[in-house]
Amino acid sequence: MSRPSVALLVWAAMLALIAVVGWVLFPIGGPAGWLIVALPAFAIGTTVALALAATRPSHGVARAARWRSLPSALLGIALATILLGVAIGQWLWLIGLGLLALALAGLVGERRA
Amino acid sequence: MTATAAPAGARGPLTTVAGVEHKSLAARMFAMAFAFFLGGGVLALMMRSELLAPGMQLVSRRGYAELFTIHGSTMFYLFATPIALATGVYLVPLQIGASGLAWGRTALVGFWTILTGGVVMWAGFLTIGGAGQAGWYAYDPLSDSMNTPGSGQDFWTVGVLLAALGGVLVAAPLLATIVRRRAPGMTMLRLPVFTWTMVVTTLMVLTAFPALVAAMGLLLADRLGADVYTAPDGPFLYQQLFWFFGHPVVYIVFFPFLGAVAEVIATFSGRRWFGYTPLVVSLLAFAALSMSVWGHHLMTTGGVPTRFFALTSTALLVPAGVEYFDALATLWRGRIRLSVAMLFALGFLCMFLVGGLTGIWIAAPPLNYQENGSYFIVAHFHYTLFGGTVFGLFAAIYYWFPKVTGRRLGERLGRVQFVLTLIGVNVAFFPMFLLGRDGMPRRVPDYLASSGWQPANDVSTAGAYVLALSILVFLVNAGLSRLRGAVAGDDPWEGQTLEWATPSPPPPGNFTRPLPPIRSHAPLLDLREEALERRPAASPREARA
Repeated sequence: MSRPSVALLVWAAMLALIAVVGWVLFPIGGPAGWLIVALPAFAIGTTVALALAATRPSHGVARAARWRSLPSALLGIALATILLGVAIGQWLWLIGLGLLALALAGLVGERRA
Repeated sequence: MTATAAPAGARGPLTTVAGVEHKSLAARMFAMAFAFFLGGGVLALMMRSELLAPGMQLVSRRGYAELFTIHGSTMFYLFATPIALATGVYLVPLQIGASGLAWGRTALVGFWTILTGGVVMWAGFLTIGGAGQAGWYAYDPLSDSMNTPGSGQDFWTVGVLLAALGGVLVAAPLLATIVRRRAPGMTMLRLPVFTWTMVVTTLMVLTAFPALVAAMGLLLADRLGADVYTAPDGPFLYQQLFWFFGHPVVYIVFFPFLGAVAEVIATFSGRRWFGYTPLVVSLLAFAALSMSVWGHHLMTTGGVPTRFFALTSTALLVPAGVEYFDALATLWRGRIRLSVAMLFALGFLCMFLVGGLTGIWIAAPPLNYQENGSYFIVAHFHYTLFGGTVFGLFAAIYYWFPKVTGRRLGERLGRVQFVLTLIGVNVAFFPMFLLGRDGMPRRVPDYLASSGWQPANDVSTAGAYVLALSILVFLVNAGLSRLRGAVAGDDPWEGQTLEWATPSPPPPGNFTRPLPPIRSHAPLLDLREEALERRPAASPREARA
């Protein structure tokens, strides 16, 4: 295995083999039984997608490492505020949306810098 | 990616909040997770103190439900997963010869998401109805708004959702770093063992955590009136989604420390890890199987193909056996040095074995039906989690503390901590096997005096306090060593992997000297072996050897 994508595909193949054994040899049924197909299928599909992403060439231009990103920290806090606001009340998730807008604007600014 | 020198002002409050550099980010995540570990531990001591004697002495029944819910939730979502990922965030770039972490800002978002999730979860204690109290997995319909009303359970749901999102946002950069930032010559089959364990860990996070995000998102919607889980198969929908995350997570918090233990065993045996390629294959197989056993948590519902999940659960023995065999073969005839890191690594092998074998026991449906919901299960997972994650974590700490801080952790206090931990784990958790066998259910705040369960509970509580003492010893050791510990140097242990080829602590950009040639997963060991071969023999006897 000289490429990461091969390792990921090997893992996807293992997941698929185990899942197929289950689907073929053992009865799938019962309440929410469709998830016994859907959940492994999701895992396999995600892994294959990651393997395909791993084959894409890297950026050719070296970028200087960023040391700080306040908008990124703010983004995490904004997500928390929005989700908590969904539970507590509109006033809080509106504040969260505001923070999100600030964070996204900051990230766009960092990208352009 | 070019490594740049730290600009002036790289330290300070702003960097603490928003610093992206992988070592400082990992340190913050580690500190956060360890703080949550201490908080969860206090809750455990409160539970064990309540169970010292029949009758309610310390907390109410509702209060006890909050204790076991927040204890379990904290340990999984806020301590074990983040600390496992933090260990990778610090070490993976160093081990693969990279100057930093890919997508550092994404990882920073993840850190803040986990931290705020933890704060929200614990803030539930301040609400009128108290914190979440439906258990760390919050089965529906117990966790719905009718059966567990109040904003505390809402806070718990939001907290878990945020922690899950945060885990994904940290795991993705880690995997991207391994895929994109390896030094020249560092092929996949030359990755250090610890880095391979981070590969499978991040894969499991990325494929399993979305199920938890979905489960919690739907639970939140359900609690707010959306009637998601009210259909007849609603509870099964929840359980399937939850356990598709819930089983892989126990491996997510275990594999990185298995990798750390492997590094420690190889270094302190003075040998190359035995069976590197079989180990890599077994890690992939172990992770694939772990994604395929989730239904064993639903065996007693009768709603899953029991034989399939019994088969996959039992099959876990095979890759686990390969890893144990490799560990023993590495130790065999090695130049063993019983450092504290090595003691914890050996403790990991023994304690996790108890948890693992009892897991095979309860993989058999008839035994599962008997023991599900009892203290046998509590004992099983504490042996795997404490024996696996915590012993492995301390092996990692004692091994890599010199690299991170430039100073060694005290070995004398470390040995005291190890002995206390070993005693504490067994005294706290072994009696729980007996309690489960005798029928004590889990999550109960009280028991009848006539049950005969008090002696075992008392012994278990004593063990819990011994564990608390061991953590106190560690904190003292860490504090003293950080201030006055012996200076470590670049490579105090004769390490084998690239992180030992840079100063302690590593500078910005990680490597200031050219990397050694990478021809295997143990480049520094390769260099030492080559140097030995080139050295002319001092005597005929040495030449024959």
